[in-house]
Amino acid sequence: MKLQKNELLLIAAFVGIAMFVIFIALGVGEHWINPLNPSSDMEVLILWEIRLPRILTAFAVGGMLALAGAWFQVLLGNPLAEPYVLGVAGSAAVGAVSAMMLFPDSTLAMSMGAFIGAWVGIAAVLSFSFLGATRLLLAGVVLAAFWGAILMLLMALLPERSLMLAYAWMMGDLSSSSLPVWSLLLVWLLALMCGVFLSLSLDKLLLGERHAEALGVHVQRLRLILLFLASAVTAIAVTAAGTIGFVGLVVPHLMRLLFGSLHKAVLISSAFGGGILLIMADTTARTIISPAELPVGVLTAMIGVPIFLYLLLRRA
Amino acid sequence: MGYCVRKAWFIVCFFCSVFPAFAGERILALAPHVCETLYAIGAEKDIVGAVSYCDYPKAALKLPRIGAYNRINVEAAIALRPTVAIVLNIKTPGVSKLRQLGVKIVPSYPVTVDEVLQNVQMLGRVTGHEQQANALVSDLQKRLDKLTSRISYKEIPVFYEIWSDPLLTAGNNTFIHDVLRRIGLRNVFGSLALEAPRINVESVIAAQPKLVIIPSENRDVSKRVIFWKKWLGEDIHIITVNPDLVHRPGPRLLDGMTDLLNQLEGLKL
Repeated sequence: MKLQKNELLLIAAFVGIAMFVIFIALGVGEHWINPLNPSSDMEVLILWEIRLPRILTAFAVGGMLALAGAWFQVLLGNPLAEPYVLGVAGSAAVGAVSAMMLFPDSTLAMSMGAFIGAWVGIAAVLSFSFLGATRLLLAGVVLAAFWGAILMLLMALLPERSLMLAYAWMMGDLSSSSLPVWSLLLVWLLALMCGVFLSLSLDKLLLGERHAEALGVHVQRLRLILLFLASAVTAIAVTAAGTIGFVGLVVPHLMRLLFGSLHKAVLISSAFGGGILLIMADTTARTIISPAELPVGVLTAMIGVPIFLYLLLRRA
Repeated sequence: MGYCVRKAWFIVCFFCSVFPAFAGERILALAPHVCETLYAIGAEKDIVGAVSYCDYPKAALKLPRIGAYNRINVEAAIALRPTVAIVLNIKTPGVSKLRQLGVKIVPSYPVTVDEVLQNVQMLGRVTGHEQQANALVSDLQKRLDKLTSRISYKEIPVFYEIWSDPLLTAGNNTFIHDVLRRIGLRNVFGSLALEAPRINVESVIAAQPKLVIIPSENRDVSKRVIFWKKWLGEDIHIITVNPDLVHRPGPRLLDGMTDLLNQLEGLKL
């Protein structure tokens, strides 16, 4: 494949695939609606007010998670890293569930809680950023366990009726994001642009910190920027859709297997690929046992794992 | 003399342990509907402990709490020296320990309207208040028959919004499904073999309900009315119901069903 050499071609190819997937995802649902020719006003309303916002939210959130995953994998020098590895999802969940206890009938309060919680988690992690990659990872994992324990405590105190919302949130829920879709797409675009801008430094960082320094990269500053960027993007994704696992871990690896490990290609393809995977997962989640729905987190793993393992085997 | 007293005491104790009904049980009522039923059949004096949400009648709020719906504090429970524990689900953590410690476990999990009546009778037997229980059952049965004969409409398609975010409804083989059926409504998601399926707005639109029932807890009903009018049309009927009356399989169920029927008759469906 020559796509990784020419990023405009790569972007064009991904835009094409994304458009196609979005078109199909718009059409399927409770019943098929032709997006180009809806037959009634109600169908128009369903297409543009129920399906489209959800699909675009899935795209933006999936892309952000994949980007954040790719960044964390370089930053921590660990292929197992994913957006939630440093406990940002845990602290966001603590924030969301606390908000749920204080303001039981406000979705907005829950999103605010998640957002604030995510930033508390980020602040905690940032204060360890001077540690090397391994110790930072260790600190993050321990913090994640800490947030997990607090979450369990809150869940034990939460009244039964609020648990449904808490569980739905923790398994990922794209149907009721309280952040406007355009803002998510904007964040996605900004993140992608930052990614492309930083990609050369990231490639150098991959050679090891000392080599990167020698090649003129200010490693300490780059790590801080990267940590902040990846955490911020994760925080917004978590606020919009709860914790959706697996996309952030598997998509960057998938893209490396397909396009090699130069970061310009990896980041561009992750931003699109993550979005496309999450649209596919969410569309399956809302249609496969229709009229009932499955949590989207179930599907990201069930679709992502086989593709990933297949590519892994083929490479070996 | 002392010997005689002791002997007599021993005999009393012996009989008490052999025929618990004579002694009066010491009951743990571990679900709200159990608590309500025991009060309704006059067995409230035998209740020694309850769980959170046992909030009706008001007097039940004073009962010692020994856990929540999902967990029982075995130590606190045993300290109350119970002889019987009436539980919703025998798999609740703590229940098997209670059984090992010699407490008789009685499951009570009615999922249909008829089973609610049978459950009242069963609890009457267990607690030795059969007479009151039978009287209550025949009263409930009479009210149920009267209610059934009042129903003048047929199979109105209804959407029951258990929860708004995430949007949850009642599936097949659930208590709510049966309650709806008994007052002549057709649960539009009644064919789903899930207890509380998560669904999306699209499916509700496609199911074309004529009526939406919203339990009046934890949500802004006026917002839900605006929401459903937008998606299901201005002529959709929306009523609210007190969830404690229709979600709890207890003796107040008929109050809830009567309330629903009164509201339905007011709608001219």
